[in-house]
Amino acid sequence: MNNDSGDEAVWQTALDWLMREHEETLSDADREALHAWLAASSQHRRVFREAEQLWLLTGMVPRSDERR
Amino acid sequence: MDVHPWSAELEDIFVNQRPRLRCVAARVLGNTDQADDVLQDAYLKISEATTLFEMKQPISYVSLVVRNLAIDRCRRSAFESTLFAKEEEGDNASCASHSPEVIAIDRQSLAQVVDALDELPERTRRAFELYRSGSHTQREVAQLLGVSTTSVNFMIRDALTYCRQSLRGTSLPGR
Repeated sequence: MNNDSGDEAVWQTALDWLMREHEETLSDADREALHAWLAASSQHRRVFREAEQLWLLTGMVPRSDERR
Repeated sequence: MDVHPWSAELEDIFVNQRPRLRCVAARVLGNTDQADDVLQDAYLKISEATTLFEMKQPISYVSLVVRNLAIDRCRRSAFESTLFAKEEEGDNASCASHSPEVIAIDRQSLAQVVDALDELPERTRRAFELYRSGSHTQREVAQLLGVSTTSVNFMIRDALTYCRQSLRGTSLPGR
């Protein structure tokens, strides 16, 4: 169930949602779709959580040209 | 104790620029209720990170982190209830409890992400930085770098996937 190709597909879907959330305020329909995707499996939730955490970490990295 | 040069600057920023930082958080949150929580969180996280890099302009870095933490909080609040409700229902409970811990937001993870981003091909890193900063769409990043929007989309995925692999202690095949 947690094979690499399956995980990779879930990861890419998580990144799709992450980028959409970054770019725009999700519509109610999108929000529902994301909810449904998260509700569908604990793997989806875990991987999405991982993507969110990583996204937050990258938001704490200063741009290379801003470091002294 | 290892006191880093800008640890002192950091104290100063959080004390003297507090109103400005609260505004940054409140603008994202839409209210001031949670702004202090976000500031506290930002202070703790940045204090841990001070030895990882030196900043040219600590105030812009602090503002950036406050803003990103506030955004994260907003996004999460929309889904937290769904997520917790599901886990409590026991949906795949055994699977969830045995899953590896999600990435911790701590100094060690941040150091690994900094290193991973530094290891990326220059253009991939640049594309990711421009996108992550929030001031450019994928299309704009593509125009700035003279590549296709599709390439930019792949570069962003590559950057995040590489960081993920790096945090898991495995390297990406072919890199």
